[in-house]
Amino acid sequence: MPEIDQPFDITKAVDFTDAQIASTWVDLPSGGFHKMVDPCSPMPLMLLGGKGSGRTHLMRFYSYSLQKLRSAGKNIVEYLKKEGYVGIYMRCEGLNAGRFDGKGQNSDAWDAIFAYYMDLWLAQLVIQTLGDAFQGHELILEIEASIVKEVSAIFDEDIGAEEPTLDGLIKALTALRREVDIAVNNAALTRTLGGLKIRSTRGRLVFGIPKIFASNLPILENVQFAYLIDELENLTEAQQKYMNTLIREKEPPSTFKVGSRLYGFRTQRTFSAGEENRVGSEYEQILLDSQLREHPKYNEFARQLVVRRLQGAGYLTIQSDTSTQQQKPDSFFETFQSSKFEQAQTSFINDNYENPTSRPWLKKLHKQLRESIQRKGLIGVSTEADIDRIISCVTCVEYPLLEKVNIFILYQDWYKNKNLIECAETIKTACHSLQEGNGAERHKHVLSHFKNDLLAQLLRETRQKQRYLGLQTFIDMSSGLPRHLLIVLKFIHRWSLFQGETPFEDAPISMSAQREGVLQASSWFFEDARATGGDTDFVQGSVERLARFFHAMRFSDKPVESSLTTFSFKETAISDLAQNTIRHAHDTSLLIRVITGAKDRNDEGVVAKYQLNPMICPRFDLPLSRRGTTPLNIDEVETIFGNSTDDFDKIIEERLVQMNAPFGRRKKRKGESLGGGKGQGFLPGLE
Amino acid sequence: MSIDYTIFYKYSLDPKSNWAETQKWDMFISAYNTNERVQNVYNSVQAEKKKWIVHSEYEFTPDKCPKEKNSFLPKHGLREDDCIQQFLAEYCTGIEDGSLCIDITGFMRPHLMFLLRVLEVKEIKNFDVLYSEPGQYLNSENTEFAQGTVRDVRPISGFEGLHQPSMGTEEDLLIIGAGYEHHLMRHVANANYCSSK
Repeated sequence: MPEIDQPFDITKAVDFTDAQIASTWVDLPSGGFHKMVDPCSPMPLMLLGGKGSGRTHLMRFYSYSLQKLRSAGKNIVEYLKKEGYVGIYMRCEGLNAGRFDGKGQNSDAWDAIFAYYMDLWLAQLVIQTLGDAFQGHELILEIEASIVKEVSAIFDEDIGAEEPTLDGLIKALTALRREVDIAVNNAALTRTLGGLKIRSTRGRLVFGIPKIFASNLPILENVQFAYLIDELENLTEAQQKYMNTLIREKEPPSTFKVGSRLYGFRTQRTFSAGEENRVGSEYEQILLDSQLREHPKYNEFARQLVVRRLQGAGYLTIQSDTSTQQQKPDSFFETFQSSKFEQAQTSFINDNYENPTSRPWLKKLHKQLRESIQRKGLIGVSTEADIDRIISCVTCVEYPLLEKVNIFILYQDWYKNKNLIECAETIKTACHSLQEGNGAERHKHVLSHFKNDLLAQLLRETRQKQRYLGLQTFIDMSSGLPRHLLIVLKFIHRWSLFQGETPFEDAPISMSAQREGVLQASSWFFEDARATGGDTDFVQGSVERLARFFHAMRFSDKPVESSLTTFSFKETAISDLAQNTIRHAHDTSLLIRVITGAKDRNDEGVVAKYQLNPMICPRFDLPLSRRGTTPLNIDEVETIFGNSTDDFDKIIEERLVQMNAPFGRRKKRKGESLGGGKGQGFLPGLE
Repeated sequence: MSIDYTIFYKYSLDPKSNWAETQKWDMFISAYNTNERVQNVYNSVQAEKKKWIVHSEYEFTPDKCPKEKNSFLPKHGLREDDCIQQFLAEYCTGIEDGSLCIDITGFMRPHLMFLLRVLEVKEIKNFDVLYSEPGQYLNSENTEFAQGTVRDVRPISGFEGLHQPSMGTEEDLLIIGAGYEHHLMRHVANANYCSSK
């Protein structure tokens, strides 16, 4: 029987059972995750990641429940010793932390009660975990009563454990927690805490109980008690202060591995005399999705993830390991075969346009040239015959992609006010040379940088849908967030079934199912970001404006940057509103910050650089890969992200003036230099 | 055990009739709204004291707020328990001593639920509730009662229950009462993502 029903239907780790967490687990090549989390290390860790970065899967994998599964029924205590740690997993969501606030009580009272409640919670988890591990174990039998006595003693007063067993201790802790639950809940109604007593000193249970177990059970010597605290974002700033205090004041053998969303880690302050925790000093920090995005083996990891899911659902055999099957899934998706100048994927053009001159880009060029003649705005072109000669030179019937390259180069020359007849002749000669495998450096350069954009233009101008095909494309879309890859595959799988196909079996999944699945995943991602608090409507509107901005440039006559989904700007020069909008878009992963910020050439100040999340790109017919970067001036940033949104169409129009024939010149705007001077310190399209 | 089926006894009133003249209460509470369904009832009801509670979440500008001096305008962002408790303490003294009628038409749901909970604690177990139902919702099943961004999903104050730590994540159960506003249910389902549904 398969371990999972549908290979990609479950995309959240919290929806998996422990067994499914174990069976779908894929490590980064060469044990990368273990090195990253290092549960045996006493150094606390903040594991920050966007939604879908795999944080919960990772943290649950190191939890005791999964350790127990991995021990495969053998001696779990020995197994914990072997792994060198015991993972005490806790989700902050379970605390329902929002109730420790208001209700007629002051914040000091709530700080104390929350700390007490969390201590009780963690204490109970440690005892449950160790109690389970040592259940019936000969080592615990003689000393169980002694452990209970010692644990009871670290409370400030008797907790009334009725039985000298770990179960009795759990019952006593449960009663104490109930006492707090009832008092906190009733405070909303009665406006008092009803004489609630705090019966332990802050932090004493969290560090004391592991010490008691370790000192009474020599087999736990050198075993780290790793508190795996997930979903820190569910705690308020004041409550996180307590978590930070535990990290700062940690005592062996305990340590903390804390998971949070990017925006959920709100403070580094502690209750320890107002000190702040520092990365590298009190804790290490991992930005999970950016690490995965930059990881040289992310591709390999993503493929193994897909293979593992397919194995789990019974589509691939489990006999061989995932790494040997990682190329196999490519064959499950229909794609175009590689061909000379992409002839295979552009063959529909010759089928659809019998007369080459009726191709939309040639008709458009013809019209633009004629209008410019009438305005006497062209050098060397004055008659209809001249136009025909130019059209004839750039036409390349056999290879539509080359025809687009020819026209693109012609537009570049037009922009530079060159004699277009002479240019067209040169282009024709170079195009022939290229087909024969000689020279044509300019053509080669354009193909190496703009091929995908020109293919996208071909599709759009012939009213075809954009193509996002093949596993590698889906991996590129995920951009370091494994859940996104699974979501894309989930929708593709569903579309394939809907279209009557038998995915992952005999025939590959059709291009049409892939296209629909990708688009649905893209829309899902965009809409899902709305679910995350704050002014999401405005943030989404901003990201949509940015996408439309890129779209307009990509489908212009002469795009300046290739594969444009990235922008840079001078962070200190923009309004608070624009900064907050960009920050929020980043927190919800709509935008991805590009770490290598470009230097401003003049004043050596660092400019911020962001990329549109590739998951959104198909929704706006944009490329998935990042190459070019466009610097935005202050007006453009404010129009897209700030409070000048009414000017958006004007901003686009100004940009496009120099990108569409007959190529005007743009006015200089605030904070911008149009030639040299301030602005981007690298060549367009060559980054 | 016998069940008293009159506890939640309800009947319809015709808004065109003289329904308001037939009854009188000591105190009448309504949640302010500019909608005529709420305004007409407030104006028609006979009561010694009439109180508006103006939900800050509705974001009425000062010129749109009621002018009556017995209108409670809570501070923005006040949670339902703090809001209702302040309202009862400052505007509803003597609520235990007389007859009470609440028009729930304009109430936000968490506030209404908490109000009922607190009345129960105060042992006010008999009161009348009015609700004005529209003839038809313009957008039928697609009517959006809650607009704007969902910022938070959490239990209603006074209904949080008891909590139990668990080593796994498989023990909770979320029961969804399906109805209008599926997008809100989606938020709840997503927020309680550990649960079986």
